[in-house]
Amino acid sequence: MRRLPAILTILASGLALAACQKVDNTAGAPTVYIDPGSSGPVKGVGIESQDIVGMTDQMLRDMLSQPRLANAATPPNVIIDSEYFYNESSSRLNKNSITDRLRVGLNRAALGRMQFVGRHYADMVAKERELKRQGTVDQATLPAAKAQKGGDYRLGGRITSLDSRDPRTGMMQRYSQIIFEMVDLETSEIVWSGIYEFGKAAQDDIIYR
Amino acid sequence: MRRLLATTFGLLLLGGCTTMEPAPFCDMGRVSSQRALVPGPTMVPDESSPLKEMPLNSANITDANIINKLYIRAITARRTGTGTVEVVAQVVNCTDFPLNAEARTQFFDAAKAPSEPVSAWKRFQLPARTVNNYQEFSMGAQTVDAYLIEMRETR
Amino acid sequence: MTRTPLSVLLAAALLLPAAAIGQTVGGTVPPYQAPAKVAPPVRDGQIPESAPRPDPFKPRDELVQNFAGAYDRGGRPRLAFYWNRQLTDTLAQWYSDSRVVTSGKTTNATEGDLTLKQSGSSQNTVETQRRTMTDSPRRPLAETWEWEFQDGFLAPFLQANAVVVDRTAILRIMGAGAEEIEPRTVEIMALQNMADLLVEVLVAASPQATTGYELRARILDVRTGRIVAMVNSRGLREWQRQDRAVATSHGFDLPDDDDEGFGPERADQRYKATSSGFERRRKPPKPNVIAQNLAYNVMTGMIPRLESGPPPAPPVATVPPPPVTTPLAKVEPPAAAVPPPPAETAPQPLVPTPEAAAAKPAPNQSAVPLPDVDAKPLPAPTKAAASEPPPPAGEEPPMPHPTKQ
Repeated sequence: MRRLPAILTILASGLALAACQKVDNTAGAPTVYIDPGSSGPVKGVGIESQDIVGMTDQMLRDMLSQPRLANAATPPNVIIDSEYFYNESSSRLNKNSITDRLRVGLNRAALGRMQFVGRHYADMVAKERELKRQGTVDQATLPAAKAQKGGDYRLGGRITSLDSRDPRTGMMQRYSQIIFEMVDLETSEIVWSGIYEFGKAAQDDIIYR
Repeated sequence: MRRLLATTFGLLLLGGCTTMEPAPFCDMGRVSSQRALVPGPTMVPDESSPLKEMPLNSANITDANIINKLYIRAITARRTGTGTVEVVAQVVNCTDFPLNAEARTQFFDAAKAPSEPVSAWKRFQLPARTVNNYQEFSMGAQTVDAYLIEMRETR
Repeated sequence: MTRTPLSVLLAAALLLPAAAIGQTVGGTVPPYQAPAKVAPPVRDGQIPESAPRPDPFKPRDELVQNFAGAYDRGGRPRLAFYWNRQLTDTLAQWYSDSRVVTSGKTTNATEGDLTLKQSGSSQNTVETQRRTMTDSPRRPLAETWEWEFQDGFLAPFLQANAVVVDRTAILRIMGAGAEEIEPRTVEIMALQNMADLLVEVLVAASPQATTGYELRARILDVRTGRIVAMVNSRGLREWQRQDRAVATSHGFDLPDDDDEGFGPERADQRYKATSSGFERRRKPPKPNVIAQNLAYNVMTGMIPRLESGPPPAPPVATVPPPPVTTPLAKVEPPAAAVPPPPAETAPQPLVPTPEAAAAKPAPNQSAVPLPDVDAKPLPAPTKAAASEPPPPAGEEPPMPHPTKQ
């Protein structure tokens, strides 16, 4: 019984130490970097980074679940660029930020289920082919191809919006709708469609550049 | 004896006047008591992990603001026509107020390692006392074996 | 002690079904089974062999040969080309828009022993004359464009070995030493004495045309003023729009009936690789190709007239007029109308050489059969012997000569 105080002291010390090792549930160091997949400190009613990340992720996963696109006996040649992706909305936006992310995400995830045609590099390829055929440069290591790849499907789409403003309060509201469609380049059949829509309301619209 | 009977009768009448709470009704006391966390992957041999987490193939509401407002009714996982995995979580808004939530899914392979990048946060709206679905597709097909859904409130 | 484990077991048994029901753990992922591959859609898979589009602007050697033959049979008329210059209907280069005549008359009379009557008159005339700056105030063309155009237009004629004379050259030759003569008179003299046909090629700006301009070519007989052939680019088959539906971003567009657009298109409409993919180049053909095509059409228009043979001799009462023939029919000219051929078999031009014309201008020697008109070419000017014309009769003084510049 004389050892009881000592045992109690050891136990108390152990408990106290254990309490020191709990989760430090406080905010981290401040940074200028923000998560592009979440709303940042500057929020408006236009299309923002989290919308682009969200819509492209949703579309590419949806496309990969479509058998005609992602489980064809012969992987189709797909062209994804902004050439036929129209921005008819009131949002100032570089369309390439959508189509580029979609193409890159799809290409990385497809793993051969689809083949991607870099149509926006057509002039680059044409120039190199011309140089090879003129003999200015050699044939390199890969065998020659008869022509550049044609496309089986190509991405089309449109961004539209509907704006409204309360003149008394200055409250701004915008409904944005982005549609994505994959079109059969032989028959113009639309083989896949996806839609991403959202509405936002804010006291005053911020400036997008 | 008469007093006792009158009191009992009055109480019964009062009980009949109480308004009925609309469905869905979420018994959060039972929900919280039924949460069973599992230890994380073992880092030291023969010792359990200090991490307690939600089990795989489940949805985890990571936001304390909505943990007692939302209830995930069911989660289903199925294969699509291309072999990818589609998970659908049915989320119940137990409150009388509209809520905005977002969720994302991490897919795992058979070795319980992430098989692909985590999906983007997908936003969904939940009007008062409604059920909405959160749906996500995996990118991979044969590499996907399990999933874990994270859910939080969004603005 | 026996109660405690019992109560724990009881509590666990009560909690177990609740835990099994309430946990939001979803179903496991079904095992992967490779889905059947999707076969390609059933289509005929046939790409119709489209015939290559005929190039309307390709060289037409056969036509040039036909023209050369007709040109020989037609007496090898000399061709003077007017490039974007219209033959004006103004006779004089100078014109007057004001003329002030001040007249005065004085009369003095002295009456008395001596009667003296004196009368006099004076007249002062002031006339302002202006000079038309250019013969044809047409839109000036870029010099290099003009070179390319003339090159393309002249090439078929030179290929057909046609006699082509330059306007400036014949003007300078004819007008040398006759500076006092009205330049336009010299021009007509030069045309009548040193050329037989005037080929007038005009270019007009036209926003409706794909080229941005329209063309008109007119061939005139310089002795009679007769229009031998006329070609307007609007009427050319090669300039007509193809009536095909055009794919646009809002569907297929059929050509609009009210659309007045027209113009030539390149037959070889290839796509060019650009940074945004392949783009179709819808540029019109180059000016020399268009000019060459115009020349071919001019030749086609001239061949029937040339095939009618060289013109007859001056109408004589005993010689019947040449028979009316179809334009395409190759008719040998009447022997009486043909001057005696030279010893060589080379075709003898029926129009006189400048020297012969200067010596004896032959009336009505047109490159094509003419109606009975009395048209005479002007004689060549008397070099350096132009005398002052006598002052006209009348009170008004003669018109002043233009100021030499």
